[in-house]
Amino acid sequence: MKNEIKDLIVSNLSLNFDQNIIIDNISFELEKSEILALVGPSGSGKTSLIRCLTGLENPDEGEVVISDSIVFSDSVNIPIEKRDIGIVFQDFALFPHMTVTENISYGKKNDKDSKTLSQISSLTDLMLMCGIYHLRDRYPDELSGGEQQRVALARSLAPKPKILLMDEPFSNLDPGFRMQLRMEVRRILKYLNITCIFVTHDQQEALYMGDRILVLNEGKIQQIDRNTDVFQNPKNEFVAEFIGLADFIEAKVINNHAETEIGKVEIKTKAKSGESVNIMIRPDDVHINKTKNGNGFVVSREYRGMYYIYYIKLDSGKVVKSLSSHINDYNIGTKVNVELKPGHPLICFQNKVII
Amino acid sequence: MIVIKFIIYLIIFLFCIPFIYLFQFGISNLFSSINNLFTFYYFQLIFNTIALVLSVTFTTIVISLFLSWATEICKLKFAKLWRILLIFPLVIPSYLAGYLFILFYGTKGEIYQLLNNFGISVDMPDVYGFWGAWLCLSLICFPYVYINLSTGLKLVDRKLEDASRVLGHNHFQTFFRIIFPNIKNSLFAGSILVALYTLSDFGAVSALQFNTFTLAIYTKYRSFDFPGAASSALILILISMPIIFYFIKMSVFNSYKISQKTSNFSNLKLFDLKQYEILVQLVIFFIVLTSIFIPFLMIFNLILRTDISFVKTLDLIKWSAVFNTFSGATINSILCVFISLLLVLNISKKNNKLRLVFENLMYFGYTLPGLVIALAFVYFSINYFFSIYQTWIILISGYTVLFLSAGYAPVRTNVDLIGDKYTVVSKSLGKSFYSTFTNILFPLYLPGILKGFLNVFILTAKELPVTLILAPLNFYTLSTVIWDNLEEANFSAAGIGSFLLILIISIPTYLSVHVEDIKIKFSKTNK
Amino acid sequence: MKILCQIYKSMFFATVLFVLLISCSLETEATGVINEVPVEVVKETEKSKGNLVIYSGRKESLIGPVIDQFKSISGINIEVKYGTSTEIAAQLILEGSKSPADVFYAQDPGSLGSVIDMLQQLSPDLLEKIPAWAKSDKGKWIGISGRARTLVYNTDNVKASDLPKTLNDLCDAKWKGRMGWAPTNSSFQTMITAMRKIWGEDKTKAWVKCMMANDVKVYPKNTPQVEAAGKAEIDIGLVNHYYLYKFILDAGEGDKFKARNLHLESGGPGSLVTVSSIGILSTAKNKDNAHQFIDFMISKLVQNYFVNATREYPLIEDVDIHPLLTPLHEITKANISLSDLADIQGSAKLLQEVGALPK
Repeated sequence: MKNEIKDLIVSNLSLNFDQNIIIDNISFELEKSEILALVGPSGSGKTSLIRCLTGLENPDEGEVVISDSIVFSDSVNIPIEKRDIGIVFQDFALFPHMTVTENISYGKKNDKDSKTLSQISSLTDLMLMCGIYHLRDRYPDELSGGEQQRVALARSLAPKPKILLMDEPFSNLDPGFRMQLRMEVRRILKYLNITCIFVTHDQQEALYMGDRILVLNEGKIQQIDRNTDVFQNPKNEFVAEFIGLADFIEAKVINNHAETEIGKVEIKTKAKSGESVNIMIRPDDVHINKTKNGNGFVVSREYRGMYYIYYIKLDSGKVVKSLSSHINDYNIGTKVNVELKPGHPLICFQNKVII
Repeated sequence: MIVIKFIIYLIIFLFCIPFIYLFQFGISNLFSSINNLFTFYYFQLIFNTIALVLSVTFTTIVISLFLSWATEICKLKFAKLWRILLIFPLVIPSYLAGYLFILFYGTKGEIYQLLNNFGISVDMPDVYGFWGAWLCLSLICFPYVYINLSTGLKLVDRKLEDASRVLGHNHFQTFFRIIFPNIKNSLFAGSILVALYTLSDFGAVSALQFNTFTLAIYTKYRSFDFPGAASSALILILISMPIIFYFIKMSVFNSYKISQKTSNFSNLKLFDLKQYEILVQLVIFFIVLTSIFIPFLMIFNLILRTDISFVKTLDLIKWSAVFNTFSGATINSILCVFISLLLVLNISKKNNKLRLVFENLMYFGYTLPGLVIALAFVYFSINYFFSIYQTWIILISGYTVLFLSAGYAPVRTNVDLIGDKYTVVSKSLGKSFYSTFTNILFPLYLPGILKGFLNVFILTAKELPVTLILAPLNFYTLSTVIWDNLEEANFSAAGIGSFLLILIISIPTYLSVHVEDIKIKFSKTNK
Repeated sequence: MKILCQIYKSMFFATVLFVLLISCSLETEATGVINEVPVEVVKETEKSKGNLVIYSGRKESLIGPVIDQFKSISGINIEVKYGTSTEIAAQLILEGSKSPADVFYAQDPGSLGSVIDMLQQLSPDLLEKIPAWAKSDKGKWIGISGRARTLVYNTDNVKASDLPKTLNDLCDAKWKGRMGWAPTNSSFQTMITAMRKIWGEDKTKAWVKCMMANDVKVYPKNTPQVEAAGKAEIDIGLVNHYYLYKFILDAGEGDKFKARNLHLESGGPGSLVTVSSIGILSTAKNKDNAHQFIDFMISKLVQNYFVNATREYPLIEDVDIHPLLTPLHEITKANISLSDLADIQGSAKLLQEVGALPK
C-alpha cells in the first residue's frame, strides 16, 4: 500500500480572497480508485477547493500533484486544460447548442489509455453504461434533470481523466431520485475504478458515496477518515454534529461511567472521575416512552416513514433527538420518559474536542 | 384589445405602403425589361452589390468578434472607455463618412500630404470603387455587430467556459466552439443590420463611386425613370430576400436551441492576456484610430479650413436643426421601441406565422433605400391622406418604416430571453398587467429597450433622404444642414453640423452604456 | 427599484437638456439670422401678406439669406422645401395637381423642363428682364443666375500651351488617367444633352466612350472634382465654373489652391452656359406672391448677392460680374437654346447604354 502511487497529493494549500481566508493550509492525499466525499456546510470552502484543484482558481500557496506530476506549486501552474481532471458541475453546464453525443465527445481524448478505463472501448459503451444512449441525439434543454446529470457525468468521464471532481452533482435533483442516482453513480465510478472527489453538503450522501470523508469547515480540515470512523469517532463536536445528527449532553464522570440527566452510560474514553464532559448521543441512543410523569415532552417531530425523529425538551431545557418506531405516534406536547440506552460505550468531548 | 389589434394592423399596413407603390410603378417595367436582367451589365451590378454586402458583413463580424472578446472576456485596461468609443463610428452618416474617407485616404489626401511633408512620396492606392466602399462601410458599420455581441456575451453562462477548459480545450478553442455558438443569435441580429444597411446605403457608395443597386436606383430617379427605379427596387428586395429569410430562420432556430442563463456578474473571471495585452490594446487603438479619431480629425479639419473667428463659427450653428434632429430622433426611437414591445408581446406568443410575415416585412423596410420609401409615402399621402402630407406625422411614419427593425431586434431578443415566467408569477401574486409591466417586466426588458432606442436614435438622427422629401416645409435637421453645406462646399458649416450631430448622438449612447453599467452593479450588490 | 431610480435620473437629465435645446433654438432663431445681403432699400412692394411655398433645388445655405430678406421686406409667410433639383422634380411629378408648391427653383433648366407641363406662363414683365438665351422659349421659366461649364485644371501639371481647345482634345492619350467627371451630376447630364443636340447621338456616344477609354475618374459631384484638381489628384475635371472660387478663397492669400478654370473657346457643348432657373406651378395657390418673389430674385439686390456669394453670372443688366470671372461676352457660348435641354432622361439613357451610368 505504501509504495502505491497516490493519485492526488495536496499540500499546504491556501487561498485568500479580499483578505478573507477561504482555504486555510489544507493537505491531503488520495489513493488510486478512491472516492473521497468532501463535505461541509455552505461557505466552508468546498467549491473553492475544487476550483483550486482544477485551476479555475489560483491558490495563493501550496502544491497540487496529480499522479506524480506537479500541476501547481510556487513555480508551476499547468493550465486547466492540461491537468487531466474531469469535473461535473452543480448545474451540469452542458453545452446548450450541442446534442448529447456532441457534448460527450467534446472532451479531448488522452492518447495513452489509462489502465482503469481500458474496459471502455467507445463512447457508445460509456453512454450505455450511463443509461443515456437512447438520448444521444437530443439537446440538453430536452432532457430531465437526472438525464442531464448522467450526460454531465459521461461527458467528464469520456476523456478518461485521472481524477474526477463532482461538485454537489445531485443538489439540483429531487430527493427521491437522488437515492437511485447515487447508487448508480457509485456503481459506475467503482466499476471504472475512478479516483474521485465528491462534494456534498448532505452527510447521508457523503456517508454513502465516500470511501473516506473529508469534513471541511471555515476553510480548515476538521477530519479526514474512513466514513465509518468519521461517523463513529468524530474528532470534534462539529464533525459529530454535522455527520451524525448528534446531540451533546452534559455529564459527570464516575469510574468509566457518566451520569446524565437521562441516565447513566458507559463511556469509551478514560476521563478522570469528577470531571464534566459532553457526551455525544445519537437519536437511536435515546429511547422514549409515553408516561404522565416523564422527564421531558415532545416539542416537534419529523416523520420519516419507517421511523420518527422526535425532538424532546428535557426538564433542564436541553433539547435532544430521539429515534422512535413509526408505531409510536406521539403528538406534540406529549409527556415522555426519556432514557439513554446506547448499547455501546459513548464518546466524550471536552472543549468541543474528543477526549 | 381591439385598440391594440387596430394599431398592429395599422403598422402592418404602414409597412405595405412601399410595396403597393413599387408594384404599381415597377411590376410592368420589371417584366418588360426582363431581358435587361440577363445582360452582363446587370450581372455585374448584382455581383457588385452582393460582393459588397458579403464582404462588409464578414469584415464587421471579424472586427466585432475580436473587439467583443477583448472588451468583455479579457482583463483589459480602459475596457469601459473602449466600450463607449467603439459605438461612435455609428454616429457618422455614411455620406459624410464617404467624403471624409476620401479626404484622408484619397490619392492626394491628408495621409499623402502628411507623408509628403516628411519627404516620403507614396502612391496611395485608389480609394474609389470596391476597396474604398468596403473599408469605409466596414468602419462605420461594425458597431452594430459589436454592440449586439457584447450584450450576447454578457448573457452567456460562463460556467460553460469552465466546463470546456476542464475538458481539455484552451481559451481560444473554447471561445470558438462553446462561446461563439451561444452568441450566434446576437451575431445574426447585428450582422443583418450591417448587411441590410450596406444593401440600402447610398451615401458611401455614391461618394466612393462603387456601383451598387441602390446607387442605380438613385441614378434612375435622377433621370426621372420612375418605373425603372421601382423595378430596380423590386429586384433589390429579391436580392435581400434570401438574406432576410436566412437570418430570421437562423435566429428562430437558435432561440429554440439555446437557453441562455444570465451569468453571475460578481463571479466573472476575465481572461488574463499577460504580455499580449499591449498587442490587443494596440489593435483596438488602431481600430478606434481609423474609425473614430481620423473621421473626427477630418471634421475639425473641415471646420478649420476656412479662416474664420470662433464667434462667426457659432453663428453658423442652426439651433432649430439641432432641436429638430434631437426631437425627431427621440420621438421616433420611443415610438419604435413602443411598437416593438407591443408587437413582441402581442403577436409572438399566439401567432408565429403572423410574426414571421411581419418580421420579413419589417426588414424589407430597412433594405429599401430611403428615397424609395419616401416617394412611396409621398404618393400615398398625396392621393389618400393629403391632410398629413408634409407634417411630422408622415415624416415619423417614414422613419418608422425605415428603422423599426433596428429597434425591434434587440427588444425581441430580450423579451424572448426573459420568457413569460415572471408575468405568470407576478399575476399570480395578484398584480395587474400594468403594475407587472412597470415593476417587473420593464426593468428586465430594459437592456433590449435601451439598445433598440439607441439603434433607432442614431439611425434617425443621421437620416437624410427621407427627411429631405417627407419633412414639413421649413424643416431642417443637422443631416440636411451637413448635406447642404457639403454640396455647397461650405466646409466650416458642414464640419460644425457634423460635430453637433455627433454631440447629440453621444448623449443617448453614453446614457445607455451608463444605465447598463448601473444594472450590472445592481445585480452585483444583489448577490 | 434602484435601477428605475437611476433611469428616472437619466431621463430627467435628458429632459433638462431637451428643454435647454428648445430655449436655445427659440432664442437664436429670432436673432441669429445671417444676413449677407447688403442693406439697400429696394422698391417698396405692397405688403400683401399671405403665403408662399417654395421648392428649392438650391441649398438653404445659399439662398436662405435671400429668402429671409424677401420675407422681411414683403411680410409674406414663406415656407421652403430644400432638396436635390431632380429629386424635387420627381416629387412634383408624384404630387401632381395636389402639389402644395407655388414656385420651383432648380439648379438647372433640365429639372424645370421635366415638369414643364405643370408650369404656368410667366408674365411678360418678368420675361422681358432676362435675355432670350437664358429663359424658356415657351415663357414658362426664367434663369436667375448663369453658370458656365468649364474645365478645371491643375496649374502645376498642365502648362498653358498644353490646354485643350475642345472637348474632343480630351480624347488624346496624353490625358489618360488624368481626368475626372461626375456623370450622375445634373449639370453634367445637361451638358450631354447639349452635346446630343449639337453633335448628334452617335458622336456623343463616341466621345463618352473615348473619355471612358481614357480612364476618366468618376466623382459623385462637382466639388470633389475641383478639390481633386487642386490637389493634383486629377489634372482636369469637367465642372461648373463657380465652385473653384470658394476653394481659392478658403485657401487664403496667394496661389495656394493650384487649380484654375478654362473656358473652351470652340462654342461647342464644352462651353455651355446654363442657368439656375425658376418657374411658377400652374396649380399654385399664391401666384401673386410667387410672381413677387421671382421679381425679387431678378432684382439688382439679389443678382448682386449671387455675384458675391456664389460667383455666378448675373442675368440682368447693370450688375457687374465678380472680378475673378471671365466676362460672359468673352465666352463663346454653346449655340443652343436652353429649352432644348430638358431631355435629361435621354442623356441618362445614353450614358447608361455606354456604361457610364448604372442601368
